[in-house]
Amino acid sequence: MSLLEVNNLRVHGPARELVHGISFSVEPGERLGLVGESGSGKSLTAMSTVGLLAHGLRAEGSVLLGGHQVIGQSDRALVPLRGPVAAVVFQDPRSALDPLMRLGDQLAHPIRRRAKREGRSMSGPQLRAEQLRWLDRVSIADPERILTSWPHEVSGGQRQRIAIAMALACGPRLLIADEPTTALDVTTQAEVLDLLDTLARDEGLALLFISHDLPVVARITDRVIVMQHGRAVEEGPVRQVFTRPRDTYTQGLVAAAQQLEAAVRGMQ
Amino acid sequence: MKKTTLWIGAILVGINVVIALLTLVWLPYDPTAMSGGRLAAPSWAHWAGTDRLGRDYFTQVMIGARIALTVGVGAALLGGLIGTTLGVLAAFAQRGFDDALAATLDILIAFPTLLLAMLVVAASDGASLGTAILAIGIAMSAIIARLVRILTKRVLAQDYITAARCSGLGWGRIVLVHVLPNIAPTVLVAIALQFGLAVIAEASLSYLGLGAPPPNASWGQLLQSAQSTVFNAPIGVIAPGLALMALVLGINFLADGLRDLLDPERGAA
Amino acid sequence: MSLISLKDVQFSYGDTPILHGVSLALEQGESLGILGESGSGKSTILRLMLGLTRPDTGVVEADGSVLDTRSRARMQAHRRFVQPVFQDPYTSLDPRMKVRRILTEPHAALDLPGDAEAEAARVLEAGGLPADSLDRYPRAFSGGQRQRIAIARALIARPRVLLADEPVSALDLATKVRVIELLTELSRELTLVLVSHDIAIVAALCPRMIVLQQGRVVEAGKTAAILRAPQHPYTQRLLASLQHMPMESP
Repeated sequence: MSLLEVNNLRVHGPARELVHGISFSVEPGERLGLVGESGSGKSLTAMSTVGLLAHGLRAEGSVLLGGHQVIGQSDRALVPLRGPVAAVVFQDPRSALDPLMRLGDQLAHPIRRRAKREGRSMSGPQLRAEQLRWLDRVSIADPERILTSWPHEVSGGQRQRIAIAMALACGPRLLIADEPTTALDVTTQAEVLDLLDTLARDEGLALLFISHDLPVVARITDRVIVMQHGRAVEEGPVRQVFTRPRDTYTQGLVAAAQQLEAAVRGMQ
Repeated sequence: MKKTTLWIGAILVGINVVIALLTLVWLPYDPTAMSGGRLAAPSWAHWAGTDRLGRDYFTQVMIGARIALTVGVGAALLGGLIGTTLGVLAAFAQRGFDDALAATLDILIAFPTLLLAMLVVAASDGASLGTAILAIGIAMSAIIARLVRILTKRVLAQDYITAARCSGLGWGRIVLVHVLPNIAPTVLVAIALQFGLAVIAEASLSYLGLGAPPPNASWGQLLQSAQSTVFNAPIGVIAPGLALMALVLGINFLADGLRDLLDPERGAA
Repeated sequence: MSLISLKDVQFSYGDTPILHGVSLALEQGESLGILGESGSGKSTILRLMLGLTRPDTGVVEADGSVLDTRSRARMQAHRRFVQPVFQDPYTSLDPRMKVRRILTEPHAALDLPGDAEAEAARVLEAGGLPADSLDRYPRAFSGGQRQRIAIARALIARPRVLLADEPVSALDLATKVRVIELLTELSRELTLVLVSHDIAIVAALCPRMIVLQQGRVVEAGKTAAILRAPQHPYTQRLLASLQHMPMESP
């Protein structure tokens, strides 16, 4: 059974339809990229799969997440799916973390929830050990200090690492990452991509990775769906789509990305 | 839906404006003359009955509309002008002055308008329309200034302001052509909402005897004098009360409607 | 003679040091890329070059003389000499002004020669925008078109230097490539200073570059030479961090 199975998903905005019937599936351990420019509907598609559409938007069709129907479910019914089945990492790690809560306390939430779900009790020292283990998993130096820090006291890259740790501490089988490296500096972006790559491999995670950046998608995913104006225009293995695109829109995107890269390569 | 509120607001305010203008040239009765029995009930001759001295009550309520609008418009103009000027200055000011001004405005906002009005009345030679306008206008200016300061700072942080500086514009022109037009919609809506509050404040002041003196009686004063006869002649309280409510409601509807209309994202291209 | 030069410039924002003794020179026809990540001080260098702020110590020279930001006449001349383009096309145009007014505003304020209307038409064409754009408001345009309007506004003064702060990083890929093409075309006539975190854009537009790290120039020289053989460890790390498109498998 697929981990995520999306069938003819449509997203309606207040005035018009924004995603016009998209279907795809993600198998356990698979890495799928959703590529498109702003307004292509890639983020709406991803958020629909966990029932996290903004107010005023409505999804239609079928989304089976870990075998459970997501479309038309109340938020309460979806809570048990978010975390154990799928967790989300957002573009802006600043708004994804509560600015008024110490990082250690924020990280403790998913750890405790998971322990409760698995019927384990968690003592103070155990909790602390778990917190430190997760910070170590996301390669955070000086974890003791980070635990007692506030979100604004750490760098953007560290915030994103902590957001990833919080998502993974839920024990999900699917990680949905919405432009997770777009707000980061080039060097930090490379580190976070390496981290996601390693973690996904070690944990056997499936990945739904949303980005407008073709080289980044090429780095992290195996298969890619190219979206334009709310439609999937091309789908296939990432190497094939990015080297021999069939759709004219994809061809334009790939040519533009290659043109940018040629400027650097041409000089090296 | 939004258009409806705008229209209801415009009609309610419009009726008040027409009546207020009408009182300048025509009144049903001489407001100071006895034209019927004392505390007469409403009739065709006296739509809102008469007061304790047998004067036509509807005439007095009509005059009240003029007083309310005069004070409201006067206070809005005064408060808008002082508030916008102070707010823009504060946004440009160096840290020290800005902080001092911000603190002053906060104190002024916390200061009850009624108390301020009493001080103004005490400082001038007695209550008048002018003192009411001054007191309410000053109180209003503090609220507008605080809003204008924040809005101006937000606009000043935009790249088009830096571009204007690089286009050779001085700060004065930048304020005139870039800052004011961009903060105007929000400030106008705020002033319109304050206008409604000013009408209520004026009614409260005159209820306490701090407003315009008779015969230019305002609604607040009518309410105050009709208070003792509320059980014999409830119309004495109902008529000015309804008028006050209709005007303030109309102003608030109008302000809400304006807010939607002036929203730059949805406005006409 | 350099078009613009910074000589041992120090700058602090309050108690926070931003630039530690930065020196650089912009030569005629040799567009300069300033590569740096967030907090490197690259935007501060731009503000200094624009005369929007003064260095704590050190000197900014432009067009052969020291830039005295307190002299109105000197600054008016400087405004005709350099013009900026900003990162965010959504905040760089006044939403309440029609394009005509946006373009002619500098013409009047800088007392430029020629007919304002004709000049507006000229820069509109140079920016690659349709002539009927003049009577529309910024909200009628996409991000890429807005950036073209901003570029057109900068061109009205016929500046010799165009200072661009991340001019394409907010744009979609296809739009980005087209705006880079526009800038390439413009750089034949004028000299660009391009501030960016993106090596590809610097490589595409600038024959010379400097690498800025935490307020210090760590590497400077010909872009081709730096990309081929980066000397400083930081530059090496930046280059190693680039993500690449997959190559056609043989």
